[in-house]
Amino acid sequence: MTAQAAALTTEVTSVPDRYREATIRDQVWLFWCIPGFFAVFGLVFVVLARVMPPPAPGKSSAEIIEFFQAHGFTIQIGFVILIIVTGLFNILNGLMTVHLKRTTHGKTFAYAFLFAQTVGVTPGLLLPGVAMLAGALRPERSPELLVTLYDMTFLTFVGSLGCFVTAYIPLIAAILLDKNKIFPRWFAYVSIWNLVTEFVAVPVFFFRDGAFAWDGAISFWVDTAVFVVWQNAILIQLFRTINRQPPGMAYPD
Amino acid sequence: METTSSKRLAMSWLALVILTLLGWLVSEPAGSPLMLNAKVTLLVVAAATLKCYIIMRDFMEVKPATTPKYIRLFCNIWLLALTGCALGIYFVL
Amino acid sequence: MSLSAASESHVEEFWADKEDVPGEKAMWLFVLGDFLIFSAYFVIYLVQRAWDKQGFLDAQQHLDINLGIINTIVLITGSWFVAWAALAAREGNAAKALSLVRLTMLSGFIFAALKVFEWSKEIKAGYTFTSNDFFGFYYVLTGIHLIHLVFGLAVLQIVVARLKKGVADHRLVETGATYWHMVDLLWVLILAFLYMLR
Repeated sequence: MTAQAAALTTEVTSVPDRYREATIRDQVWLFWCIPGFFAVFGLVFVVLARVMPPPAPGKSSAEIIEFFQAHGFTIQIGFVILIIVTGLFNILNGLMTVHLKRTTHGKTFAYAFLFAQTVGVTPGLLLPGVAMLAGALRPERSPELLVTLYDMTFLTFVGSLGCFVTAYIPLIAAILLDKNKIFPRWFAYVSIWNLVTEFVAVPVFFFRDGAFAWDGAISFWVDTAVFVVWQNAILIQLFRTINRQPPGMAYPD
Repeated sequence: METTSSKRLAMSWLALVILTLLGWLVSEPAGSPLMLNAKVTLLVVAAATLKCYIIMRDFMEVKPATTPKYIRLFCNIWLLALTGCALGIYFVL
Repeated sequence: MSLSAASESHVEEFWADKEDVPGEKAMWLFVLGDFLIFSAYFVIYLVQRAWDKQGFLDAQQHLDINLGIINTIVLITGSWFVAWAALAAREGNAAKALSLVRLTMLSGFIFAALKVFEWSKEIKAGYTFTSNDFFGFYYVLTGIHLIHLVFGLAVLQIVVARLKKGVADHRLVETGATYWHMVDLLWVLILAFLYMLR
């Protein structure tokens, strides 16, 4: 009886620790999927499909047909891979949500962040992928249609950066208002850079050349540079946040 | 070491307003077509640089008493580099 | 163990917030980085301008320099007040700091109202975002500057809320002031590069 009770007590007290270790282990495994995703993303967009850095919006229809014919097969391979791995990007959103919920205002803001972020992924990754695949499926179709698919690819790919603006507002608010010190405050400020520069992705819908076109110095290059800084910042601080979770930490629902 | 005082702030404000009005004076009256003018460009960029320097030093307190050296260096080098780029691009390109 | 206390013990600050700059250090990281981002925009603009100096001047012709100058003086004055508010907060005078920060916010609202008036004037005259390269830069640069200013008003509102409770938290006032001076400084550059350059 006494031994039984003792065993029970040990069991009960040891649960939180085991739980914590298991939780951190799960999160670390999931975490490493994210850099993995970005590696595949880079391979698909830069090497296989040749759509990053984006080709010029001012190309003639003949050049666009040639683009589809020259890269048709690698476009198909690349974007089929992307369609399979796109979901991995949402692991980042999931992990961020788990930890945003630990902040003092997080119960509400975490979901605002999660769903706004998810809105951006569809036009940012899937729409350009499907538009490119549709173009590559029948490269012999009429030039006007190919030009439309080409425009659609890059308008959604670069222009969708504007979709993320609404996601950063709850993220920034949750971090700056937080009293539990889950995320470092500098990360909120770095997110403001990202928010403001992504506003400037939206002019791609208006311009066919110059700094605001989809391959422009402002809409694409400055934006992408700041996005890379931000993406590294979110990964670094998320990794640290995962590893410094307190023992016996029970997550809010 | 310099310390900030409300008198000092008022003087800086006055200097900023005077530099702004100076820029207004050299601008052409409304209606007349704008002409390429290197002298005005030089003056305008110099005035803007000076204004930025005053804002950083007196308002943002980028000075020895209040900020570490690396921030002062960053601010001053940034301002000089931007001014240099602006004038370089204007006169070289 | 409460959530707050539990995580507190596990916190290692990324950047220990030593008092060696006015206000919060993370804010300085933000401001200096923003200077760099805006510099990139300015350089891209200046290069495009240098390729077509007369074309840009012909478009610039249609800006209202008087409104630009008035707005500059409005912002500079606001900047002065918030710098003064930081002094008052250091002296522990929350009431004085509060009225000064409120004056700064007023200057921000006046600036925003004048900016919206200026845009509507340009749009009515037929100069829109896509009219030409100059107006593309004009709307983007003044637009992102205005977004910064609106953020600044939100930051100052947080400062006001704290000062209203009678707490002269000089670190918080300095943090808000640092942000506001950045808005001021970037406007000085926009005025020079967009309105006054020849």
